[in-house]
Amino acid sequence: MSNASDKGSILGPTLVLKGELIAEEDLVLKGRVEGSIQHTASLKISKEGSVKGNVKAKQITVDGTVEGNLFGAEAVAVEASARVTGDIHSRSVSLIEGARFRGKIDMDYSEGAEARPAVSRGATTGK
Amino acid sequence: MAGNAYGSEPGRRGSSFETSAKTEPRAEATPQPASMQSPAQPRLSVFGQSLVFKGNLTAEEDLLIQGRIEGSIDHNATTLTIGVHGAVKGNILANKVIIQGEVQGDVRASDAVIVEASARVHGNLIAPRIGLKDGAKFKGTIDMDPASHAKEFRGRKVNELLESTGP
Repeated sequence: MSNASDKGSILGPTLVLKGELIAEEDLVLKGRVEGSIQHTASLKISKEGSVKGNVKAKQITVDGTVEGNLFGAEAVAVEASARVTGDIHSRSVSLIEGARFRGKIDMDYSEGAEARPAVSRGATTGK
Repeated sequence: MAGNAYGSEPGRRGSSFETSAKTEPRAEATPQPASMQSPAQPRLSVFGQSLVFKGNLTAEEDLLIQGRIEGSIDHNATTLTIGVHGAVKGNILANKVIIQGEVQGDVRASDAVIVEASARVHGNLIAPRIGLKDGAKFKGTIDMDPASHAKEFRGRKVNELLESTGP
């Protein structure tokens, strides 16, 4: 799936986005985003790509660098070339050998749970 | 057609990229022309229709915007295109801008601004060459003497200035 160019967006390596990005189509990020990403489809952060901030998407594939938390509604894949500093929240998480990762992995994540952040002290999803 | 621009890198998965050391590959956006990219295959990024971005965008490759951007754009490559679906609310600084969509804000181009028939522009255009096609909606001022705005181009070489004044 290296060629997602026919459908969806590609943000090339010289792009630097500082701010908040919202997208609803497949996205390949080869540039740099400083800020949050809210995404409803599949997002690929390729080798040259880097994100400093939280990322929320349906499927996240990381080949590049992420400093921030990843929220995958369906899945998060951290590939061998990735460098991730932050927490991963998704029901399905894969971490390929070779990847650098520092943070927590939470597979209890369901979408919407993080909509109420950090209010809870002990019970995260109180029922 | 956007896909062809990236057809030049088929084996990128195989090319081993040093994962060590380089923690901040592009911390500073220093103009680095031609050396890191082949001039024969210009890069093109597509900023798709569903994308909404609030903040500052800088880019040094050709860019087609079909989404919405609220904030400033600092573009330093050949052409920045605001597509028919694109909408920009904020100021634009670029070399050449083609507007087919909506722009609210000032557009400064060191080379040219082309306002296509489908465009709706509300703001000021400053560039040595400006084209406004029949059918376009435009409200604002047009200034084809960017020399008087040299400061706003932030040191960028304006085409007309090249001959008359130095850097």
